[in-house]
This record gives sequence, C-alpha cells and structure tokens, in this order.
Amino acid sequence: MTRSLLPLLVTLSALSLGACSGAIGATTERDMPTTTPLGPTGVSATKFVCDADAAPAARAMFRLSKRQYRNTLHDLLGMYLPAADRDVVMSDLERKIRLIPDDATKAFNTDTPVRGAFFRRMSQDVTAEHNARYFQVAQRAAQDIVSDPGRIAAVFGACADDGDPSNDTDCIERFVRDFGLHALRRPLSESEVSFYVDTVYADSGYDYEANADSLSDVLVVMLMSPRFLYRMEEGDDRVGGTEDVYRLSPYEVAARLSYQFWDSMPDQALFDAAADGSLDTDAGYRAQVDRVFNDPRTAATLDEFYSEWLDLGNVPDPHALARIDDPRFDKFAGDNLPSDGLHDAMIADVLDMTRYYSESDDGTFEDLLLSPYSFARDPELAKIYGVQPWDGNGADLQRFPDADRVGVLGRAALLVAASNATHPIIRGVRVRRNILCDVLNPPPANANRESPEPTSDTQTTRERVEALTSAGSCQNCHAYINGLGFPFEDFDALGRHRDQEPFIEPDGTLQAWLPVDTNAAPRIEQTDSRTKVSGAADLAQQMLDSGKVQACFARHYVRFSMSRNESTTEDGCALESVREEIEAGKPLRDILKSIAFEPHFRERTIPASS
Amino acid sequence: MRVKTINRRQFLVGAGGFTLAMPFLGSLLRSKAFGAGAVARPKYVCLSTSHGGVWYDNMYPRAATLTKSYNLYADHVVRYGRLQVSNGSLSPVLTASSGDLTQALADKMMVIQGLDVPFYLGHHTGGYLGNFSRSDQREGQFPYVPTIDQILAASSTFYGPGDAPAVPVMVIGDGMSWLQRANGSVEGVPASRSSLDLFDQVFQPGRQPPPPQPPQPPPPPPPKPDAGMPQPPPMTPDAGMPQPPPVRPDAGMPMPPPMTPDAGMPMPPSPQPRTPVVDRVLDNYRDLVTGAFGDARRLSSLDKQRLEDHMELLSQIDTKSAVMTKAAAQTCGDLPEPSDDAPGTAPKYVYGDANPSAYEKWYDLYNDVIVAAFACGSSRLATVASREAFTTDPRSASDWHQEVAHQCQIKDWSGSLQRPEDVMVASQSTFFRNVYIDLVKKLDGMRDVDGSTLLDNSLVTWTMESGPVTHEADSMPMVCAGGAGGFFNTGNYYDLRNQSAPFRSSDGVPWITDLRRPGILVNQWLANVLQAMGMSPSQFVRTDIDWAGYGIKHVDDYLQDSYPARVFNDAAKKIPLVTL
Repeated sequence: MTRSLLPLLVTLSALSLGACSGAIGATTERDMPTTTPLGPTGVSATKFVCDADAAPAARAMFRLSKRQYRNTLHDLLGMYLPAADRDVVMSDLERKIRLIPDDATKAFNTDTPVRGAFFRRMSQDVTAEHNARYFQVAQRAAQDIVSDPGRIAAVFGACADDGDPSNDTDCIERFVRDFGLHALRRPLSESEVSFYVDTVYADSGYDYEANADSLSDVLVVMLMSPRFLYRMEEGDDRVGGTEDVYRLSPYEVAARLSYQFWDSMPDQALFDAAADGSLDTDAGYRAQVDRVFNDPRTAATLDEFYSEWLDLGNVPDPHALARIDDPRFDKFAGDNLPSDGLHDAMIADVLDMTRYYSESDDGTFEDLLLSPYSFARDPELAKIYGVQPWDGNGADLQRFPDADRVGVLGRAALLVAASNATHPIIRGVRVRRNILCDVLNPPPANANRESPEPTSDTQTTRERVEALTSAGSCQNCHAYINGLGFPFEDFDALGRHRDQEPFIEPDGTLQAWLPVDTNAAPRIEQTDSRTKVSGAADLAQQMLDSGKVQACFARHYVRFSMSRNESTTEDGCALESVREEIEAGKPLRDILKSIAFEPHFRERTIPASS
Repeated sequence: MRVKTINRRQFLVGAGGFTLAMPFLGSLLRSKAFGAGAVARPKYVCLSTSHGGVWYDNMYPRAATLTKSYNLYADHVVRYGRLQVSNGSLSPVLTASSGDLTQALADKMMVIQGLDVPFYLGHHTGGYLGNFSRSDQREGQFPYVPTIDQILAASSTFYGPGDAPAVPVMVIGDGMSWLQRANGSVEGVPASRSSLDLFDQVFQPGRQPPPPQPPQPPPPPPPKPDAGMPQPPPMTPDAGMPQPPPVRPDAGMPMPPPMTPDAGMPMPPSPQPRTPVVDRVLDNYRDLVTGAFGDARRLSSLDKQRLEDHMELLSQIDTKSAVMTKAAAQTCGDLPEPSDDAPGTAPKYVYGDANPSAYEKWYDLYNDVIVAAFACGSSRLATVASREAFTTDPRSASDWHQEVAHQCQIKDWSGSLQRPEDVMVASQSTFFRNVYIDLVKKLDGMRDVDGSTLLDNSLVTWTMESGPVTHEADSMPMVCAGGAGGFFNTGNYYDLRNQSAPFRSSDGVPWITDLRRPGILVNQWLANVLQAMGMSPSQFVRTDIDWAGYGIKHVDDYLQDSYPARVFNDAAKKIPLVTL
C-alpha cells in the first residue's frame, strides 16, 4: 500500500462505522455533566415563570437582517419612485445586496444553548465585508437616482432640477427633512439637518455635475447612517418604578411593529400615527397592530419564521438523484421520479399550511401538529400524497388518505431524503431539537449525513440504524433520537406512505419487500423510557399532551420576535403568555399578533451607567 | 493571428475563436500612455486546480522532446527542449483545439517539471503561492506567510507611485491568496463572489470620469526642515532594486499613433476637491456617538460599543479605493458593464446538468474582467483557484475526492465506471482548454501600451494542488504562458529533476518508480516570479529566520538526502536556463 492511499482507507474505514462514533454525552460541555445526555438544562421546560417586575434584557441595538435591509430599501425607494421604476432600481441594487454576507443560521459563541432554531434575524455579526457591501449598495442607489433627471425630481423634488440655483438650499433642506424622516425612521434634529445640508451637501459648487455628486453624497451618508443600518432606540419616558427601563418613542414603536411583522421600515400610516400621537394611545396602537398584522407583508415574514423554525432551508432536493440516472433511485421512485420543481413544491406545501392556519380565524397551534389535510397545489406532490391538488380554497381541502400523516411533520418536505432510503436519525433530531426544544450535542465529526442504507435484503433501514447506533456511547444520544424518527418509517424517502420497505440492489433490481415498524419509545420526557407510540400521528398527539411542544413553540416565537435568544427570566412573561394562549386553544393568528401587546415589546432597558 | 489594436470602438470578439461578453469601448483609447512609447508593466495571474495527481506521462510532454541538457550543478543535470505542438496537444492534459494551442502560442509558453515542496503537504489552499502552512498536514507547524501575489500588491516596486490599482489583487474562484495585516497576522483573502461586482470594483461603471486635468505645475520645493524637529530620512531609490525588465516590442508590429490632446479644446476649470464620502459617513458616526446631534442622549454603553466597532470596520473601507477607482476610470473611460454575471462561488459541476458549458462560462466571464483590468492598468494581479472537477463523470455528483482523486494511481482499475486516472486527466484538461487557454488567448489578443501583447508582458501560470502523484508535492506542475516582458525563456519544456539523486517516500523507503526524482524548490520558482515582476530578493527574503529565500523553509527528515543545502542557499536566485 502506498502512503498516498492511506488517507482514503482511513476515511472509508471511519465512515463504515456508520453514523455514530463520537464522544457523546453532555448537551453542552459547559452546562452538562458528561455522563448525562439530557439533563436539567438540556431538557426544555413545559411552563415558564412570569415575573412582572423583570426588566427587558439589555441588548445592543440590532443590525437589520439582510432581509430587513433589502425590504427597507425597497419600501424607502417605493415612497418616492413609481413602483415600476422602484423595481428597476431594486433589480440593479440586488446585484450588490446579494453580496452582503448572509445572516447566519447557527449560533456561534453563545453562552446559552439555543433550543431549536436560530433565526437569521438573530444574526448580529458585523464584518468589514458587511460595511463594504453596504457602502457599495448606497453608492449604487445614489448613482441610480442622481443619474436620472426623473428620479432626481421624484426623490429630491422638482426644485432640484429646475435650473434655478436660487432655491437649491431650501430644496435640499426639504429633502433632508423628508427623506431623512423615512430613511432614519424618525425626524432629524436641527443639528442633523445642518450636518446633511451644510457639511455633506454644500461641499461643492452648484454646476450640474458637482451638484449630482452632492446629492449623491447626501444619499450615501443617509443610507450608511447607523440609524438606517441599525434599529437605534433611545427611548422616551422612563417606566415608573424602574431606573433604566424606558418606553420607546412613538417612532421607535412604529419601527418595532414594522420590523416585527414586515421585516421592513414603517409605512406612511405608521409615520403619521407616530407624528400625530395616536400610536401612543391604546386604541390607536391596537388599530395599527391590527392593520399591520393584516397587511400581506406579515404573511411573508411569518413564512420566514416557520421556514427557519422547521429548517426548510435544508430540505434535500430529491431531483438531485433523479438527474444522475441512479438505477436504484429510479427503481425506488417509480412513477414519482422527482422533477426539478418538486423541492420547491414541498416547501410551498408547508408554508401554505402554516399560512392557512395562521391567517384563518379558527386555525390553532394544534392544527399545525395534527392537521390531516393536504395543502399541495402541485400535481406531482399531490400524487405523492395520493390526493388531488389543492386549489387554494379553504373549503376544498383534501384529506390525506393515510391516517398516520398529520401536521407539519407529516409533510413531504420534512420526510424527504436525497436517497432511496429514509433517514430516521435526521427526522428524530429535528423533532428533538426544533419541536421539543431539547438540546443535543453536535453530531460527531465523522457522522455521515447520508441515509444509512440497509446492507442486505433482510435488513430494514430501521434495523440498519439500530445496528449502527446501539454500540457503546452512541446510545447516550441516540436513545433520545431514534425513537422520534422511527414512528415516521411508514413514509419513504420521497414522503410517500408505505407499509413495506423495498430492498433494491445498486443495479436497480428489486430484491425484497420488508415490513416497516413504526412502534417506538420516543422519550418525549427524557426519563420516560416506557411510553410507546404506534406511529407519527400518535407521536404528534403525545407530544401535544406533554405540553413540551407548546412551550417550545412559545420559545421560538418569542425568540424570533425579540431577534435574540430568549431568557426564561427576563422574557418569562412573554413566554408564558404565548404558551398559555396556545394551551387555551386560542386562534393562532391572535397568538402571533399578541406579542405586540407584551409590555416589553414597547420598552427598552438602557442601563443607567451609560 | 491578427493582433488587434485598441481602436475607438473595440469589441473583443471572435478573432481568436473566443467571444467576450464585455465590449471595450473607445474610452479605452484615452489611456494616456498608450502608443506614446510608454513602458509596459509586468502582470501576473496564477491559476490552480485542486487535487492533481494526474501522473507523469499525462501531465508533461514526451520525454523525447528533452533533447538538451544543462548542468544546474556539477551533479545535477537537467534536461530541456522545445515545446512542440501536435494537433493542439503538448500532452494528454495540455490539449486544446489546434486553432487555439498553436506552435506560435507554445513558443510563448513554458512547462516546468521538477519544482518541489520538500515535505509532505497533503491538501492545501495556500501552497500554490507559498503559504505551505495552510495545509491539512502542516497546519500550525509553521507560521503562515503571505502569498506572493499579496507581497507584490504591497510592494511599492510592483505598484509604484504612478499606479492606481482599483483592485490590487483580483481573487477569483475559491481563493488561494493570503494577506499579511499590519499586526503581522496572515489571513485568507475572500474571493470575489460576482464577476460583475469585480468589474464594478475595477471600473465603477456609470460614474462619470473626471475631466482631463490641466498640466500641473512642478511641485514646490520642500520646506526647510524645522531644525528642532527630527526628520525622517529622505527617501532615496533603492540602489539595489532592479527596475522592471524592459519588454520586447515586436519590431514588425505596427504601432498605433500616439494620442495627443486636442489643442483646440478649452480645458474646464479644475473642480473643487470633494471630501471622500466615506469620511462623511465616518463623521456621521462620530457625531452620533458623541451626541453632537443632541439626540443620542440615551445610547447605552452596548450601543456605543456597537457603533464604535462599526466605525472601526467602516474605516477599513479603503478610502483610497474610491479615488483609485476614479483614476482607473480615467484610464479606461466609462466602460459599459458586461451583460452577464458569474455569481457566487464557482458552480459545482453536476453530472446530468442540462448545460454543462455554464461551468466554463463562469470562468470565462472572470477571464474577461482580468483582461480588461490588465488592459486598463486597473489591476495587474489575479489569482484563480478552482476546487471543482470539470467532468461529466457521475462521481462528480457524489464523492469526487474519494472516488476519483484518491484512486488515480490505481493502474489496474477494474471498476465498472471509467478509470479514475482518465477521469482526472479529462477534468484537468478541460480546465486547461476552457479556462487557462481561454485567458491566455484573450491576453494575447490585446495590445499593451508598448505595442506588444498583454500576454507578452504577463506571466500566466497554472499549477495543481499535488504533483503527478496525488498528495505528493514533488514536481508540482507549472504551466506558464507569457514571458513577463522578457524575463523568462519561453518556448521550452524544462525537466529540472536530478536523475541521479535519490528520492524516498514519506515512509522511508525508495519510491517504487524511478519517475520521482528531486528537483529544485517551489520557493525558488516563486522568488523568480517576484523578480520577474520587478522585486529584488532583498524585498522578500526571510531575514527573521536567516534564510535568503522566500516563504517556508523546511525539509522532511526522510528527504534530507534529496535536497542538499545548496537548493536552499540558492532559493532566491534566478533559475538558470529558465530565465533570461
């Protein structure tokens, strides 16, 4: 054997051990004893304690997420340019926006483990790359505007291009006040107006080209302002009885509402409500919350929430195997050989479902877990489900033919694997982390993400997984994973229902049909190794009965709303409020909207020492 | 081949069998130096592909072409001979269409065998240009060193006072460029994620070029130093610093007429200099932090820290870049943007893709930007790293690394799929044909300011992650085009291996084939590239470890007999025969 081939053989040898050979134990090295896979901090609570005196957590101001940045630019430009022209400019800017570093989907260097999903809007890293890209976008946006007389007139006013230099100062000042209000999301102080007019703008003469540069520079500096790139909140009055908790100003409240539900800046109605004081009244605030929540942009933001909660960004593309002419996969897929569009249809099915129950008057959280209806509009996906495509009409929902397929976990997007074999481990990990909010150690470095395919025609995928994970320390984690994945074994790697599992040779020869087994001990509560479930629907019901899944959803929604990891101390009231409303069976839309009425939503802690 | 001159309206289309998406407009002509007897500046592009391990007779021209010999040392005889093209081919890997890889082009190329890293390197992303420590086998063993492209970019010799590089190094593909920060740390340089973005950085399209500047009066004499204030020593030219080598103009090549200003055109007044907008942005941050606007009364300490951190990052935006970009625009005018973009990182070639040519197109678009930047003087350095396989083999959709690259040396392959060695050869050859030759041809199709082609004044190298044996770092392939303005002796295949010296593998036993023989150090080659670009050894040798050479100095114990002290002692010297 040559030295050159050694790494290959070593690697292959390691992978052949299967999915588990790492040192598995603590939920995190920091907070868990190494002998306990899931302990006091590893297991999610089912209830929270509300301390009404707890102050909001003190946090640095938030950077706009990439999505928020993009939406804000879109809406800001839309306040001045006709929609078609705004879209032309945004299309041009998109070339630069997409180069802004993507927001992370994982937590790094966190002291407290994130229980489940890490939302992109929580990603607060700022790098030199961010700034360089922001700068490029700002320059390009300014260039797009000042290079077109029509846009100059639309953005700066007709006075900016009327050939009359005598009104230029008034013209630019009006622009700074108006554009600044919208871009920086609150009225500019006089000193700030002076900065933009006297320092930035009046830095050169008034010949046309220099004037264009001056206008451009004002735009660039505004679009690079921290008030544009961050959500700066300085507060208004101090909350009675506190030293450092402040009520947000009306403009800051407007921005909280818009970024919570739209991932974007306030619209003119919110600016107006902030200006006329109505946002400061209970009735006025409630009216704005209702209006904002009912705006179509809220649905898009909730799509983001559900998508990241359920990790839809990592749904495998089944078409990837279909296009390489793998005889085994082709035989497995049969009449359901995935097209290029199936992946997106699977995701759309989930989001159509979450939208439906989040928007309808009587949709509940329980529906998310137990709904027996298909939302597949795509014929290819509907065929996989064995139903007719949905036409988008709520009265025409198609019931799944198989009773074990319920809720989000029964959707093809959460079942599919880029293989002819299922992946019970990935399915189980998703439920443990994202549905139950328990903390698991990261997988060992040599964990294989590919499906653990059976090796003989007498072995099922489940048996293969059991064989791979039963040895030694593997059970420290897999005792809490496999039992949450096996109940889904009556759904194959394309999400089709099945009673038997085929064993197919690499050349595509079907060798055997083997019975699937969906019975499992899921250990919803870590200490409960005795309770069994018979399948996916039974698992969903028992998770609901445990109360853990409601508390986990509350964590996720509060986390998403606050754009940071939740604190059971400081956010206990919000967490418990959401959890109680779920438990009470309130409509999901009311629960999602109610976050805006949590006291902390309109407050900020600004430590007195600062 | 007809070498095109830069005309008022020039489109780089078709003459050499290739098409550019980027039209070059007449503004290119406004290059002040063009045709005015200016001295062309050297340019360097390094391309690399991952893995390698293509085996000797696949990579290199036939041994029969090595008709001459030369005593590198008394006991180290090297062989060389003219590169001879046969039907567009120099070797199985070095094969293109006969219309592209012509004998005329081969006369501008070099193929070098026998450039070694004298220790086990394994997989790496820094070794192509000298940062050998960025390797899975050597991580942490040696301090990182900056790669030679960044050494050139930081050198006042390469980019002198008259240069205005909008982008000092164009880092393309997967990145292999390592930069040394002021604090001494060495960091990987992120690669471009969009060819359009890179174009924008180079040319900033849409921005009006500044009006021509009136002749500047001579600078006033320096003020007399204040006797009480210590003065820095006067700047004097480095007497030992060689000037960039003169380029070799083609005497038979017609020169375009020199550009002269229109005497009848009145010069506009000089515009009032504006404060860079980045400075205004920083002013805005400072004012917010300090409360100058009177309304940041309740910024928390966390907020202020965040603002200060942001401001620090903001200050890293090279304020010079905006100025330099304008300078670039002044050189090349307001070039229209290319119509297509190569977005993201290099696309993965997926078996079964409906349009596999899109993969080559991605590099093609970047090649256009390189050529444009070189033509305009907006940059003279580029790195292009590919970590993907160019192949339609099904294994490209699964584990190419294990299933193909690691099995290239299995000569008695019995698998049902194509022999891995053949797949690797086809993959590397595709890169050579569609990326390397594409770039070389484009550079050879453009005139430089001295009338010769851009290629003549450039050095375009292609190397691989491993030598002919996968994971091993002896005989790292080095395919070159362009003579860097006459620095290199082009047109030859050089085999610098010492056929009489021993070579051992890392397990201490002689290698099973006589093909493996020690040559000279890759370090010496890189030092030659630096010198070809105008730097002197005193500017790049390691004085901190007492070594008159560039980069990492190390030899594995089992190779001590193969690399005597002289190869280290000579590591900064020009390689005889290969250089002129």
